[in-house]
Amino acid sequence: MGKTVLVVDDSVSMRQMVSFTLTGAGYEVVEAGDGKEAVDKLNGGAKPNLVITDLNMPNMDGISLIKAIRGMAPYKFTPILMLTTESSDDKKKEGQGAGATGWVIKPFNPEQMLATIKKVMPG
Amino acid sequence: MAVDLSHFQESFFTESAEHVETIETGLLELEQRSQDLDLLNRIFRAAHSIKGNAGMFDFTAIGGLTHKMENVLDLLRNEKMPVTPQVIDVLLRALDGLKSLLDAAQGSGEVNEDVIQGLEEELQACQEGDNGNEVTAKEPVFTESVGTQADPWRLIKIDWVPLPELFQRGLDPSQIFKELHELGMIKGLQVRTEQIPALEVMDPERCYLSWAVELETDAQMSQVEAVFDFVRDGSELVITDCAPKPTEPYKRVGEILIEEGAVTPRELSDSLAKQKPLGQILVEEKKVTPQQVDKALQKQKQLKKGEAASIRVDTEKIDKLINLVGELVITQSMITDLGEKFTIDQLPVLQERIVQLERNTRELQERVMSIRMMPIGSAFHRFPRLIRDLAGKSGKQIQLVMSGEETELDKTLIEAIGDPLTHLVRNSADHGLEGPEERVAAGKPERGTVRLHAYHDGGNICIAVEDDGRGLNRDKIVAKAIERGLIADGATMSDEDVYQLIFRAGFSTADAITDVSGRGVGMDVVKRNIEGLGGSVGIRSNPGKGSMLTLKLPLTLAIIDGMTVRVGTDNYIIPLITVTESIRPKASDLQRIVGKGEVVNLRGEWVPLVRLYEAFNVTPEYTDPLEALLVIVEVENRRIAVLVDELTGQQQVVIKTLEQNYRKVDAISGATILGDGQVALILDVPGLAKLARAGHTAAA
Amino acid sequence: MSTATVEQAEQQDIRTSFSSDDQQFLTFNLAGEFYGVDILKVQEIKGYTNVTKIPNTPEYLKGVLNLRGTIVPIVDLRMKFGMGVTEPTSFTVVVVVNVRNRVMGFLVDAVSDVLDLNAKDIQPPPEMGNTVDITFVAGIGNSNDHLVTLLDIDRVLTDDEVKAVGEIPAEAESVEPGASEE
Repeated sequence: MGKTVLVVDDSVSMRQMVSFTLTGAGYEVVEAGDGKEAVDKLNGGAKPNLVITDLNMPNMDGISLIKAIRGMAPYKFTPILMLTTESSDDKKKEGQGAGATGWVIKPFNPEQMLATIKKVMPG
Repeated sequence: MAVDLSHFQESFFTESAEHVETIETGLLELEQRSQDLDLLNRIFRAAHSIKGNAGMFDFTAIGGLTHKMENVLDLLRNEKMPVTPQVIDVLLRALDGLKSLLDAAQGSGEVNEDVIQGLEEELQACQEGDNGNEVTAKEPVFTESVGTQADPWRLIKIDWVPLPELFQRGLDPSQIFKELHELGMIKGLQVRTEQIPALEVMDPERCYLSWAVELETDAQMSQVEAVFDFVRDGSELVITDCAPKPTEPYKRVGEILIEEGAVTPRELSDSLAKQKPLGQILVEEKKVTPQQVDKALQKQKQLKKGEAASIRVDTEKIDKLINLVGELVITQSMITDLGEKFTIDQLPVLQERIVQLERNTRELQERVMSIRMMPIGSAFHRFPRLIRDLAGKSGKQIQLVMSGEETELDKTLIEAIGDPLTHLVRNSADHGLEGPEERVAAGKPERGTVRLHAYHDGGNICIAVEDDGRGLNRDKIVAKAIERGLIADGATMSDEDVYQLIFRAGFSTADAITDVSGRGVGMDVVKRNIEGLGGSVGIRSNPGKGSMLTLKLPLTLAIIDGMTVRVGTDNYIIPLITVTESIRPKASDLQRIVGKGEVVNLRGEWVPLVRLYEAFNVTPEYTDPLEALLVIVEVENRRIAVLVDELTGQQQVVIKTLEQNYRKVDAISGATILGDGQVALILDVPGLAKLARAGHTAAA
Repeated sequence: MSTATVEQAEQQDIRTSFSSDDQQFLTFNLAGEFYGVDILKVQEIKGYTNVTKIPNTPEYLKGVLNLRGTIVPIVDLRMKFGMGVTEPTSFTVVVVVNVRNRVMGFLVDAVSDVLDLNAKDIQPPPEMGNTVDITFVAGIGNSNDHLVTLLDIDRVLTDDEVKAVGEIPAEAESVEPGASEE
C-alpha cells in the first residue's frame, strides 16, 4: 500500500468523507479545495498515484483540472477519477475527452468508491 | 467495510448553509442582473453541490427538492428559459422549503411535507411550462450493489479493440485483465499486433494493440461488462455469453413464497407490518422499561440536535499560529537559558527578551482570537430578502445599502445579534420609512433607503441601522412616556434621553408604534439582548430626515474592557461598557427612601445606591459615601450607584469562568487574572442591580 | 443526570477499587490528625498563596486561586470538618484534587507521606466518634503507629458542591443594604 491519492472537491464534507474512507483503506491522502489548489499541490511536489476530482468547483472546475493534469509530464498517465452527479453520458464523455480515466457517480457508498479505485490504480 | 457517514454530517450542514446563502443572495441579485451568467452559474453550482452531497448522506428529501431547483436553474443558465420575477419567486420559496428540510434533518423543526410536495410540483411546472419538450436529467438512483448471486460456470468471449488514447486517459489494459482474472479463469488470451505501424510513424503514447479473451466464469454478464465501464467509449467491444440459459434473478423470500402459493400478498404485507422497532421488542421482552426507551430516544434526539459547535478555519491562520508558537518556544528557551546562569550585567539582554516574549504573547493572543472572528456579512445576508418581502407587502419602495460586511467579529456574537438586528431592520423598513406618496409630499425620493453599516471602533464593533424615513417624534414620545408614568411631567431631558425611552419596557404597544413614534416593537427586548452581550444601543434621530440606531458590541465575549475598583483589600472589575461616570456625592444628594433604600440624586434622578462592601460582606476602607466613591453603572435602562473605596485603573481583562470548577455566584459574572497573578472577580452588573432591588424590597 | 445515580455509581467505584489489591494514599495533617486521599485523585501540591475571597459563599470556601490560568476554588478542610480556621504557616499547602472533571484545592496543615495500603488493611468507617462527619470517610487505615482517616473526596464535594448550588440563593437574601445601615 502506501499509495497517495489526491482528493479534489470544494465540499469539505465530501473531502472528509472520501479522505476518511481512503485513509481507512490504507491510502495516503492529499486534499485540495478546487482545481487551482490541486494544480498547486501537484506543482508543489505532491506525487499522487491517483487523482479523484469533483467536476463542479469554483476557480478551476474538474474538466479543466483533468486537462491541466494531462498536460503535466509526470501525470500524463496517472489515473484520474471524476466524481459526478450526472448520470447522463454528457459529462462522462466530456471528462473522458479531457483525459479522465473513470468516474464515480454520486451518491456512492465508500465500498463502491474503493472498488472503483482498485479498478484503475496501477498495481 | 462499513463506514459511518454521520461523522461528516456536521460539515454537510455547515456547507449546505453556506450554499443556501449563496443561492439566496444570488437569486436576489439576479433580479437586478438577470443576464449575469456568472451569477447563474454560481447559484447553479451551489444547488448542485447540495444535491450531490445530500445524496451522499442519504438525505433523500433534500436531494430531491434541490434537484428540482437545479433543473430549473440549469434551464435558466442555458438560456432555455427567461429569468422572470415569478421564477425567482418560486425558487426563493423552494429555498425556504429547503431550509426547513435542512433544519429538520438537524433535528429542529418539523417539515410540512405537503408544502415540500407543492414546491416540487411548482418547480416541475416551471420547468415544463416554459420548456415542454425538455428532457430532464434522471433522478439519481441508489444503485444496489451488484448482486453476488452466481451464474453457472460458462465461457464468455470478449473481443476488445481499445481506443487509441487508452494510455492518455490513465487506463492500463493489464488492469482489465487483472479484473477479469478475479472474476474467473482466463482460458485464452490472444493479442493482435497487426495495427502497430512502422516505428518512425508510431506514437508511443497510443495503443495499437487489441485482444481476444476467453473467460471461464460464474460471474453475471453485468459484472463482466462492468470491467469495461471506463474503456467502453471509443472501444470496439463484443462480449458474448456462451451460457446455456438465463438464470432466475434474485428474489426476496416473500416474493418466492407468494409465487409458490404459500402465502398471499395480503398475508405477507400483514406479517411485514408486524415488524417492530427495537425499543418495542425490548420492552415486550421486559429487558427495558418504556421509560428507558423514551429516555434513550430523547437522548438520541438531543445528540442529533447537538449544536454544531464547529468553526472553519483557514489553514493559513493555523500555519501562522504554529509559527508563532514556535517563536514563543524559542523565546522561552532563550529566557530559560539566560536564567540558568544569570549575572546582573545581562540585565539588558533579559529585558530585551522579556519584551520579545511580550510581543510573541500578544500576537499569539490576537491570532487565537482571530480564529473566532468571522466577517459580519454572514449576519447581513438575510436582509436583502427581508427588505424585498417587506417592500412587497407594504407597497413601499425600499433600497437596502449595506457596507462593512467584511468587518470581523466573534462568531458567537454574529449568531447572537442576528435576531436583534433583524428587528431593527424590520422596524426601519416597516415603521421608519414612509409610503411613496408621503415621501414625495415631503420632497424626498419615492424610494426609501435603509442602510446597514458595520465598522470597528476601538475594541468594539458598531453596526448602524439607518433610514431616511420620518424620524422619531420627540414630543409624542415624551407625551406617551408621561402618560405611561415612565417620566415625570416637566422633566428636562436631552434628545438622546428621550429617544432612549423607546427602549423602556412597557413604552410601546403595537398600536402605539405607528401613530406615535414610528418604531418600538419589542425595542426593550432588543436592548436587553444587546446588553446581555455586553453591548449598548445608541439612537439618533432627525425629525423628517430619518433615524439611526447603532449597536455597539465588544469584538469578542472572551475579553472585556474593565474598570478595576478596590473595596478594602479586594479588587473587582466592572465592565467598562456599563460605567457611565463616577462621582463623589454631596451630603445633600443622599437620601433614604422608605421601601427603596438608599438613593443618590443624580441631576434630578434618584438612583439606588449599593454599598459593595455590604453586598459582598467585606471590610471596606470607607463606609461614608462622602469619603468613598460612587461608580454609576447603567444596565437595562436602570442606573445604580455602586459604592467603592477607589478606582484603581482600566484594563482589558480575559474572562474566566467560575463555573468550570465551582459554580455560579450571585452578582459575579466571572473572574480574571491580574498582572500579579491574583484573581479578581468581575461584577455582574444586572445581578448586582437585582441584588439591590431584592435588598430594598426586603428592607421595605 | 440525577445526582443519586452518580453517587451510587461513584460509590460502586470506591468499593471495587478497595477490594482490589494495593492502593496509594497521599496523607496529610489536619489539626494533629492524619488523613489520606486516593493519590490518583491528586493533581498536584501547591504552596499556599493569597486567595481571592468570593462573596456570599460558605465560610470554609477560602476563595479562589489562579492555577496556571484556571480559577480553582480552595476549601479550608479544617473549617469544613469543624476544626476551626487554618492559620497559614510555612507548612500550609494546597492539595489540588481532580474530582469529576472539576479541579479543587484543599487547604491542609501539612502533607506527610504516601501510604501504600492493601485492601485488607483498610477497615470500614467506625459507627461513630471521630470529629469528622462520617459521610466523607471511606475507611480507616493504619500507618505504622497511627490511624489514618481515608477521605472519600468525591463525597466531600458531592455534599457541598453539587447540593450547595441549590442552597445559595437563600443566603444571598441575607444581604440587605438598607437594613444593616442602622
